[in-house]
Amino acid sequence: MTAAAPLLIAWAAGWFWVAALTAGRRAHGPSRWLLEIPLAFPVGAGGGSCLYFAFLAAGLNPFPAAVLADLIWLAAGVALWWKRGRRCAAPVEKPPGFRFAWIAWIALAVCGAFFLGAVYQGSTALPQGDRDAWAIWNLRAKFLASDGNWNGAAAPELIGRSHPEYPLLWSGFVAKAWAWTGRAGAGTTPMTAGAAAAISLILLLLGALWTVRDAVSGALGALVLMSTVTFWQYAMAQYADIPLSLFMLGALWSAVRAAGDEWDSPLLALSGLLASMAAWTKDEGLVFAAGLALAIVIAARKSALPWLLAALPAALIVALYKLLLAPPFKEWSLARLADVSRIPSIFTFFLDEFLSLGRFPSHPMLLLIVSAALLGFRRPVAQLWAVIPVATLAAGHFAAFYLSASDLQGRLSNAAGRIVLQMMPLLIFTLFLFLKSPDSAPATSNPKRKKR
Amino acid sequence: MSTQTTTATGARAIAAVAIVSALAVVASIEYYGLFEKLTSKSGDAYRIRNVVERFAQIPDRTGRAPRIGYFNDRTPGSVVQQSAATSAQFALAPQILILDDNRKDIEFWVGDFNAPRDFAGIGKVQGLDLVADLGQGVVLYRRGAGK
Repeated sequence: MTAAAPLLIAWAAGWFWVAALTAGRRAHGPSRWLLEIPLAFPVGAGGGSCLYFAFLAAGLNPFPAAVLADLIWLAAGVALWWKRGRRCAAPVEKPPGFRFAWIAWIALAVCGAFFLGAVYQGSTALPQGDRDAWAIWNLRAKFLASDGNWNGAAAPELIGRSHPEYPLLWSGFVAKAWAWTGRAGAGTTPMTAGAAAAISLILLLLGALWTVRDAVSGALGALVLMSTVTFWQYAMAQYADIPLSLFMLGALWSAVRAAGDEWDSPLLALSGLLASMAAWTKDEGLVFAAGLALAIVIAARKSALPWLLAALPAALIVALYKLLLAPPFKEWSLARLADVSRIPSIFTFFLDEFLSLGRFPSHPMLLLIVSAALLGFRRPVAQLWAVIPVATLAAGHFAAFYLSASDLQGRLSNAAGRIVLQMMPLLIFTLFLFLKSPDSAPATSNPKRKKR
Repeated sequence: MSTQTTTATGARAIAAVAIVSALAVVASIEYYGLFEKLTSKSGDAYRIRNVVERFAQIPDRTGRAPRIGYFNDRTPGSVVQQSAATSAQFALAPQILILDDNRKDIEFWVGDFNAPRDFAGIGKVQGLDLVADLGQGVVLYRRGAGK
């Protein structure tokens, strides 16, 4: 079996889940596929990986655990789709046309071609990924793909060389694919998975903004992401940061889309599912999931229940892992609160992070500023609650640095390049959510226009 | 009655799309060039394949023991020492490398050297008997009865 086959099985399973949970709310035409195909990847990868871990913990060997996990996730997706996913799509309002959209489409095609070329080149220079890939993520995948020593992934002896306390979704996904192929440690699997995650992230940003706003906003959002140099850098690093962004963006999109449909329960469930998978991918995902849960409870109140229920299974895995298996994490100390001299260093770090996202004049922050200045903000600004999870994530990063028990400069340099990258797709999505859509028709000033 | 404004039109909208598109293309060309330069300099930058090959005989020769000892000859406490241990850990996983030489319960120990040395003598100092010199600086030891 080739490295791509287990990934495609997971992707197919994810598509049935996405199609089922977005049924009746999906758009017509290309935006549907540009949303469903990239969103299917995290749903398929995440669901299969959670089940795989549960089966390993229950005592199954890697191969039967991998086969069962993927088949059960696929069968459940097909059953759900059969029950409700084949419904006809609801007619949607035709998005406003913009005569000059072709400019963005051509740019997107050019950028996409260069990006794919760079991904191919990166695969030859880093066949086993960047340092943290083989020191953390793929190392722990080797344990999860081994007969009888899966819990070595959380062995306290690894502290100092790896991070046995980190969540295991991405390592579990790679391990599951290795278990299918019987070639644990082969670089092609995490390389293909990493590339699939990066490409899915671009397409998801495009499709997500297209479905909640318009095609050109989606294209502009994808272009801003592709002008982020750290995104290029990490696309082939085989780290969990890009998959994490994918889960978080998927969760935020589903929540925003659900809010636009009177807190549609299946979409909220999809959001909860993806947010809890983000929590099982990295600790930052846990912070994001908490922020999104808070935002949804505030905005949706009683309607938030499907979100919470869907988040429960993966949240349970995270909780049990942290309580029973992961070595204790002694990285934070409340005594650091008194050390206010850390605050300027942390702010300087964040400033450097933003500055190093690209090079002027094509720096992504400059592109966002240009977009905001020329397009302007919608009036009134709706769905402001979407900022809460993004702000929570930023605050979580700040708190993690501020309360870090270890040397601050060392921690900051270890995190360099990844922190803002994780948040970038969320920042782009939320900003374009609040910006006006480019349109060829005279400016809309319609008192009764439906809020989307 | 509140007024909603949701679209931007005219020159401002065209300018936004044109500027973002043009600059993103400039960025892509620049980053591609950057990647091309970087990748042409380094094929398999961390040489992980090479590390995996060096330690390939260890699992079978240690009976796939879940935990084996490990030490190397790099400067103690240096980044190089830690990097060597980390890459060896990846190569040997799912065997867990124990770096604490006080662990008496560990039977097999792997020496990772970057230059020819008196491997048997180094082992003896630590109470380890040389089992095999596996080449490329990889030496397998077994805890002797004396330690």
